Amino acid sequence: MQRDIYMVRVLCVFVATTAAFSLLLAHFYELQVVRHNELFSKAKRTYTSRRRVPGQRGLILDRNGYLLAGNRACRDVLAEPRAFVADLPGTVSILSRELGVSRVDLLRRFRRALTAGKIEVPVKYGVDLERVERLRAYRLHGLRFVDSYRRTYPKGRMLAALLGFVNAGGVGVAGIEKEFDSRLRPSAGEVVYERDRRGRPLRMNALRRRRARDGANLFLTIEEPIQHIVESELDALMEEFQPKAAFAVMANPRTGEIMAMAQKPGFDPNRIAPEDLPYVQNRLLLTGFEPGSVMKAMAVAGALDFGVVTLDTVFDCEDGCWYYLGRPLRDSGHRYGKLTVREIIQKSSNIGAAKIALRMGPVRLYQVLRRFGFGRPTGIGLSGEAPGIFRPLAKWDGLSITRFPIGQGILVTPLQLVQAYAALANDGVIMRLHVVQRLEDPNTGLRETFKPEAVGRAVRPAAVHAIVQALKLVTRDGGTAPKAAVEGFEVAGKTGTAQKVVDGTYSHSRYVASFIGFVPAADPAFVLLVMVDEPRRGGHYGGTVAAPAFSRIAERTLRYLDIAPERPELTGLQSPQAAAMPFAPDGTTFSKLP
Amino acid sequence: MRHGPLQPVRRVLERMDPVLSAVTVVLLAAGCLFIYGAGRQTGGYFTHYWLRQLLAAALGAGCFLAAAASDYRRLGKWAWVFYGGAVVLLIVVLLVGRRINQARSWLPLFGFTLQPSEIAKPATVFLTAYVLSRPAYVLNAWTKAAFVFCIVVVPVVLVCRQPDWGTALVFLPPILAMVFLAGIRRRWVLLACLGVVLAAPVLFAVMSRHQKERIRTFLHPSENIASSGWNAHQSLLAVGSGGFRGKGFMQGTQYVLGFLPRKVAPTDFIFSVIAEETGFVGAVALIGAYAVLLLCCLRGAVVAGDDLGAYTAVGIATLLFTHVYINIGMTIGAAPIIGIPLPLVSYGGSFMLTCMLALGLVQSVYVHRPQPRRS
Repeated sequence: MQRDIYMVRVLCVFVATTAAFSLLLAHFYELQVVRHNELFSKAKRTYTSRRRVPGQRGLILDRNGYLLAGNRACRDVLAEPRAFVADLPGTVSILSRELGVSRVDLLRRFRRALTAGKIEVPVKYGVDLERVERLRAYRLHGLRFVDSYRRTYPKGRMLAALLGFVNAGGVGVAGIEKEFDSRLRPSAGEVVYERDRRGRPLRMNALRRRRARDGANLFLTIEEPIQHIVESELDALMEEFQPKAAFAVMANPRTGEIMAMAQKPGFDPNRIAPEDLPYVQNRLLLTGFEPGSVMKAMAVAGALDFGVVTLDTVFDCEDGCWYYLGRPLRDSGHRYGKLTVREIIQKSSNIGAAKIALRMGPVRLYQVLRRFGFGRPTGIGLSGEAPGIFRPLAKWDGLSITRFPIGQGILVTPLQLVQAYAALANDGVIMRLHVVQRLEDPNTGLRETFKPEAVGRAVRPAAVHAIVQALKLVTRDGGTAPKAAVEGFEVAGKTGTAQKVVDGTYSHSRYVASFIGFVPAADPAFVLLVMVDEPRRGGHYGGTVAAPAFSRIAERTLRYLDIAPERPELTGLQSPQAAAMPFAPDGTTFSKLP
Repeated sequence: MRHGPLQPVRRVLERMDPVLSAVTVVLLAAGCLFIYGAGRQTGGYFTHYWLRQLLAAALGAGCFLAAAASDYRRLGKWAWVFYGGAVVLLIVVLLVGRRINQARSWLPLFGFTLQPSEIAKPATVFLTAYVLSRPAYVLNAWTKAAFVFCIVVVPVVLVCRQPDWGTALVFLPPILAMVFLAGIRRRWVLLACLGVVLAAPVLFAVMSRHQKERIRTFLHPSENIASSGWNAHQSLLAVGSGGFRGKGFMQGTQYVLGFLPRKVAPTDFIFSVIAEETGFVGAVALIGAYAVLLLCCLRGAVVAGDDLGAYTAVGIATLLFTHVYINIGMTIGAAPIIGIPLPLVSYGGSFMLTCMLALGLVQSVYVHRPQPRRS
C-alpha cells in the first residue's frame, strides 16, 4: 500500500513534467510550423536593407560634346538627432562649422525632430567629398552619408539663362533643366542586401539589384566656342555702354539651329544669389520689345514681293518731316529728299518706309508681317515663349499702316526677329528655330535627333534677293551702320533704334539699340542679332551701340567657322596669302558649314 | 566469478543505466556541436568556446563516473558538509565575488570563474532528500517542516542577495517535488499556494528595477521590443524562422547578424540557435532527449532501494526539468528571461559540473538499487 502511494506520486511528477514538455512542443509547433512564414518574413525584414543607388542626371552638352551642365559625385549628409542627445550643442556646432549650415537653424530642426519623434533629418545635400572626409574624422555617431550627385555648370555664367538650374532636390526649375527635366532626370536604382544589426552589408552580392538609369544626355545646337565669343563681346559692350541689358542670338538660317544665345547681366547657376533672380528668366523668348527700324526690311521685302515697288522706285521723303492723318512722322538725324527704295533701307528713312507700306495697303502689310512670324511664338520648344503683340487687322487704326513697318506699336521678341531675318537669309523660307539638337540615352545608346523643319515661306526668293541687295548697303558708306561691316565679307543687316515707351509717350532718353544681319550676305553662315536695352553712355543708335559688337562677333565667328572671305578686295590689304586663297574652279569655297 | 582489481569498476559500469548515460552523451555532443557552430559563425573569442565546453564535459564525465561509482547512501552522511561548503561559498561570493550583469555571482578561482549558486543547487537538494529520508523525520509536524524550510531558505536568500532571483527560483520546484513525494498533507500544499499568492505583490515591491523589467517584458512581450524585450523578440524570430526542418547547421542568421546578441547565443539562448538551424524536428528531438533523461531519473526513483535514493532522483529530475523548461520557454517567450542555462547544452563550466554530478548521483541511485532476487 505504502509503495503504491509512492508510485502514484512519482507518476504524478512524471505526468506533470510530460505535460509541461508537451505544452512546450505545442508552442514550438505553433511558432515553427504554423507561424513560420510570418516570423521568417519578419526576421528577414530585420536583416535585409535597401539602399538607393543614385543615377546621374543627363548631361547637357553643346553640339560638339563640350560639357555645359554636368554632375559631381558628392554625399548627402543625414543625421539622427537622437544620437546627439548627450551633446547636442557641441555636435551642432561641429556640423555648422564643417558644412556651413546655420547653427540656430540646425538646432531648431534637430529639436523639432526630437520632439516629433522623427528619426532622421537631412543636414545638407550635395556636400563635397573632401568636406565629408573632414566631417568623418570627428567620428560622430548618428551621421549617415548617402552617395549622390550634384549638378555643376563648369562654364559658370555662360549660357546660364538658357540652361537654367536645378533645385536642392535635383529637379530642374528653370531653363532647359526645367523644360527637359523628365528626360534628364535619372531613375534611381535600388540594392537590396542582407545586413547585420549594425547595418553592415553581409555578402558581396546583393539579393536583388535594380540598376540606376542615368538621364538622357542632351546635346544643344549651341556651339560653345561661338557662345564664348558672343558672351565675351557682350561683356565688352556692357562695359562700354553701360546698358540695362544686352542680348545676342545667333542662328543658322539654313536649319533654324540656335548657335549662340546670350543675355547680360547674367548669373552663375552654381551659386544663385537672391539678387540674381531678375536675370534668371530667358528674356530672349519672354520679353517683347518694340523693334524699331529693323522691321523695315520685312515690310519692304513684302512690298517687293507683291510687286508694289522695285528697289529703284523713288519716294519723296519730305525733308525729314511728314504729316499723315495730322500726326508728324520724322526721320531721325538727316533730312532726305527723294530716295529710292534701296536708299530708304540703307539710310533707314521712316517716312520712306511708311510710304512704301501705304502703297502696299494694310491687308498686304498685315499678311507679310504675319508670314514672317510676328504675333506668334516661334515654337523653339521652350515653354512660356511670348507671342509678342501684333494687333489683328481689324484692330488697326489709321496710323498703324505707317507705324508698324517702322517697328512701332508692335512688340516682338528677339527670337522672332532672328526668325524673320533667318528667313531673309534662307531665300524666304522660315526654318523652325530650335535649340536642342539631340537626346542620347546613355543606357541604350538610342538617339533622338531634332531635324530641321521648314515652317513656311515668308516671301519669294526674288524679293529676298532684292532686299538683300538693299541690306548690304547698310554697312557701306552712306548706310546707318558702317561699324557693322566685317572685313572681307559682305554683311546684310539693318539697324534699329527704338524709343522706349515711358508713361505713354516715346522717350527721348531711353532706347533699344539693335543690329541684326547675316554674313556672308550671299551664302549666310549665320544670322546674328545684337540688342542693347537702354545704353546709358556712348550713344544710343543701333549703328553706334550694337553694330560694332555685331561686327566683332561676326568676324571672330567667321574665323572660327573657317569661312573664307568671299571678297578679298574688301579686306583692304591684298596680302599674298589672301590672293592665294584657294577657290575651287566651280566657285565653291572651302568653308566649314556648321 | 573472477575477482580482478577492476572488478568494482566493471560492476558499476555494468549496473549503470545505459540509456541515461547515452542520452547524457548525446546532449553533451549536441551542446558542443552547436557551440562550435555558433562560435565559428560569430568568430572572435567565441571561436574556441566549444573546446572549453569539451573540457568541461570531460571534467563533468569524471564527476559523473565518480558520483555513480560512489554509494549515495554513504555520501548522504556527508550531505551536511556539501551543503555547509556551498553556503560558505555563497557568503564568500557576496563579499568578494565578481560582478557581471549587475549580479555578484562569480568567484574567480585559478583562472576560472566558479558560480557557487550552481554548486548550492544539488547540495541543497541532496541535503533535503537526506533530511526527509531520516526515519525520525516526520514531515507533517510544524517544527520538522520548518527545519526543511530553513535548509532551503538559507541558500535562496543568499542567492537573492547577489541578486539572482532567477537562480533562486530554481531551488523551489525540486524541494516541492521531494516534499510532495515524502507525503505532505494536502492542506499544507494549499496553504503554501495561498502564501505564494499573497507574497507575490510584496516580492514585486522589493524587486530591483531590472528584475521588474524582465517580468513586465514577459507579460507584455511586444511592448519593449527595442530595449528590454529585444532578446525575447529576436529569439522568437529566430525560432520561428527555423521552420519545420530548419535552416541547416551553421546556417542560422539571427545570432550571426547580432540580432540575437552574440554573447547569449552559446549560453542562455543556445536552444534558439538549435531551433533556428534544425527547426521543429530538432526541437522535438532535443526536448524528447530531455524527456528520456527525466524518465531515466524517475525510473531511478522507482527502482531506488531507499527513500534517500528516491527523493534524490526525483529532486534532481525536477531540478533539471525546471532548468530545461524555463530555458526553452525563455527562447519562445513562454517564460520570463531570467538567465537560466540549458542543462548539458549551454556553454558554462560550473553548471556543467553541477549537472554531471547530479546525473551521477541519479546513476548511483540506479547502480545501488536492490538486486532482484534470483530464482
